[in-house]
Parts: sequence; structure tokens; C-alpha cells
Amino acid sequence: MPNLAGFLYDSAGAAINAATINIYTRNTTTPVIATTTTNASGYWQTASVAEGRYDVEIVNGTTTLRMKYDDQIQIEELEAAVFRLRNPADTFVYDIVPGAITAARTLNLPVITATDTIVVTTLAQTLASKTLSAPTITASDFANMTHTHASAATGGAIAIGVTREGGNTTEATTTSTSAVDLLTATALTIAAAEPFIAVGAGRKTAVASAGAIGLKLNTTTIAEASASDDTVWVSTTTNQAESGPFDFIVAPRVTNYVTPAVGRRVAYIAAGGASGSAVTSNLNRTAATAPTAQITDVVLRALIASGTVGTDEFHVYTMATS
Amino acid sequence: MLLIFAGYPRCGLNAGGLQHAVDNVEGLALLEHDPAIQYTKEGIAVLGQGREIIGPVSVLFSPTLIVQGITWNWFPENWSFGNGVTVHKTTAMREKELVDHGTGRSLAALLESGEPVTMANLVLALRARRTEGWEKYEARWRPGTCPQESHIVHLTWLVTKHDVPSFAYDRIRSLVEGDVAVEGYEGKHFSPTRIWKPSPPKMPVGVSL
Repeated sequence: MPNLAGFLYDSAGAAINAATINIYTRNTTTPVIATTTTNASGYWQTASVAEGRYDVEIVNGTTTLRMKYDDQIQIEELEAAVFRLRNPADTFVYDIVPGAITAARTLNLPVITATDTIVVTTLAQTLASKTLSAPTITASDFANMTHTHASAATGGAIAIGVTREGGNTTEATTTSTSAVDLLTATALTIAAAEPFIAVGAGRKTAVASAGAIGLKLNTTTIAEASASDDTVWVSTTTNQAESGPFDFIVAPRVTNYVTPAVGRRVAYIAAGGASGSAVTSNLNRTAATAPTAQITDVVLRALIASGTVGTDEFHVYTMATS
Repeated sequence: MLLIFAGYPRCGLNAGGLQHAVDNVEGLALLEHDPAIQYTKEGIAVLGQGREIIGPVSVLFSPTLIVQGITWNWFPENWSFGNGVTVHKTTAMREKELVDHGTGRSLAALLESGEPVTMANLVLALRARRTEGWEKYEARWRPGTCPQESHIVHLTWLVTKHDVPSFAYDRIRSLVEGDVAVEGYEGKHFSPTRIWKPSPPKMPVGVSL
């Protein structure tokens, strides 16, 4: 059972003696729960009262002052071991408790421009128009996340912009001594303004003649298979088995810019992985210009004076233009 | 004469291996090896200072090819058969798109429209696109025979100096299309066989699920 106690001073700071102190249940005027008077030091103390909320009435002569439990007060600074909020009915309390107090700290709250709510971890809340600077996602993925993938510009898709148009399997081979259509990636839809890239590999069996691979777009041969650098891939004439990779890029084919293609090749890879000949820029200086129509067929042509020439691992990729 | 068969040689021989079989091992025909001779869709071309067509191509298609829908029209203009032996392949990739089942609208169009959509009730279907490239390709097949999925076409053809007798033709066809085991060939006469792995169908631009 607690006591209520305090000191009473006048405006000059002098102790007030013999003033009456009455205790009421808050917001009532009767009955008096407890009463006492101040001593010469201004000190007062009630008898024990039940734990509760009380108003204090001070009567000094003709002056009566009430200190109500429900008063609103303004103070310069509040320091408390426990910061507790109650609902008006006194049925619940909220204790605001930091995780630990081991050092002097300052909690800065964000500047708000209207009534707002602080984000808390246990409450499902919606974050709208928030900028996350260098966020760290601690979960393993975005499971259960509804996401619109419609726009690469807003991060909805990975804007790599490369699409594989044609694939490859068992190699194509020929013994033809004149150029032959050896491998075709067909049913394509490559617009005139759409660049594309192709990679592949060529090989020849062990003969003392050069095997060569050329390029045809739709029905136009833009780099005929021949024993020159102006073709997609060509081996040496050394009597040995050779194989090597090639790639080429076909730029957008628009009016006044119909340059066929540029490419690279390695004539062969020797045993142990050493390059048998330098990488060579080779396509294309002399043949027909690339068609400006939509590309539906990318054709590798080939020939070899003797023996067998083949091509494999040929892939055609288109690249996004925006 | 141009002999065209279905598939690559099932015995595993490559073009050089099949040529070795026809030229040397079994002596089935005289293959054309003159670098000036080039069989083309337009006719037999003689290459020199220029390019002269000296006559029509005499061609014999395997019955298997006829059944599958590949005839002379399958080869576009400016097609070169060269000479000797060739194991050719054509890869055809079919583009597909995700559409809203019932309306046919693509998923991208549906999302961009901004219309309220109950995602739980949305049924998407993967539909093949009829692109210009695919329509041109499909038109090369005998009507109704073009496969409607991504696929690969293997063809093996030989250019001979003369017409071949039926027994030789049958033997060459069995080497290409039959289950014939061959022995006594070198490693250079074979090609590795791998499994056809078509790319996954294209998604509409900027949309992935």
C-alpha cells in the first residue's frame, strides 16, 4: 500500500504550513479518500491508499488548487526508467522499451509531412514509393513476391537482349569440291535493322588442301567458301587434321549501310590447345552486300579440294536494338 | 545424278566416310569430284570465268523423303548441292508466345493494358507464332507435312557422274537410311551424334515467368 507525499511552496519558494491536502479518486469530488496537512517544512504525506489513479486537492486558506491525474502537462525534459502509455480506460499499457541501454544514444525519427506510421517488423505493412539505397536482401530469394515483369526499364526483366535463334546437333560434312549449302538455320525472323551474331566451328580431315566455310543470307551469298581470308572459316593446306572456331557479326542492314559482316576465325587448334594460326579478321570485302530484307535463312556453305570439311556447334543469336 | 536421302547416315559415317564407301570400299558409283561442277537448284552449273548452267539436274528422292514431305520445292532458290557427298542439316526454330487463353492477347499486351486482372483466374497458353520466316519455311514443304515444332532436318545427298543402277542405289540408301553396321573404316570417316536440344520457346519481350 503506497503513500502519497510531496512538498508545498509558495511562489517565493517559502514552505507553506498547515495547508490541507485532500486525495480523491480521479475525476471525482467525493468522497475524500485521504486527507492530511503540511508541516512547517511544507511536507505532506497521506496514510496508505490503494494503488490507483488520484487527484490531489490543496486547500490553503481561501485558495483551492487541484492537481488532476488527467491533466495535460508540458515539461522541458522527461527522464524516466520506464516509459509507459496507458489507454484512457486504464485497461492496457504500452511500454516503450529499447533492446538495451548500454551507452548514451540518440534515436532520430524521420521528418514526416503528415500523419504517418513507423514500419515495424511484426506487422504486415505496405511500402509505397520508397527508395531503398543499396538494400541488402537477407532472404534467399523473392519467394511469395508478386511482381510485374512487363518492363525491362523498371527492372522487371534482365535486359541482356540476346535471343538464340538457331541451334545445332550432329555435324554437317561434305566432300564437295564446289560450294555447297552445308548447314542452314531457317525459319528465322531477323529484321533488317536487327543485328545478329553467329558462332561455330569448322574442321577438315587430314588432307593437303584447304577446307573453307562461307556464308549465305537468304539466297544471297555474301562470303563464298574459298581458300581466302574473305570467308567465314578456312583451314591451312597443311596435310593435317584441323579444327577451329569462328564467329561473325552481321550489322543492321539498312539503306546506304549494307556492309555484309565482320568475323574472326582460328584456322586450327593444335594438340595441347596451342593455337595453330593467328586469329584473323576476314569477312568480307568483295562479295555481294547483305540483303536489306528480313533474314529468314542463315546458311553456311563449304567446299574442300579433297577430304572432308565439316561444321558444328553453329548458333545464331539476335541482339536487341533498344 | 543427284541422289537425296533422309537423315544422316545411320551407320555414323560422315560425308567423307560415305564417299570412301561408295568410291573405294564398295565401288557403287562414280561420284562427281570436278571442282568446276556444281549442282544447284537451277541446274548443273559449270564454274569458271563465270557460271554457266549446262542442263537440268536429274534428281532421285528417297521414298522416305517423299513421305515426310520433302520434295524439290523444299529447296529454295540459289540452293547449292555442290558435288561429291554432303551430309546437310537444317535447323528450324519455332517462335512461341504466351497468350491469355480465350482472348489470344499476349501476356505482355495484357500487362501493359493496365486492366484489372484476377491473376488466380488467368490461364496462359503457349502458342506458336506465325512469323514471316516460319511461313516461308513451311511453304517449302508438301502441304500439311511441315513439323510444327522446332526441329532439325538431316539430309544426305550424293552427286554422281552417271545414273546409278538400282542395286547400287539400294545399297547406298541402306548405308544412309538403314541399320547397316560398317567395319574397317577410320575414325575420320565418322561423325559424333548428339541429342537434339532445341532452345526453350521465346518469351514475349520483357516478360518472364
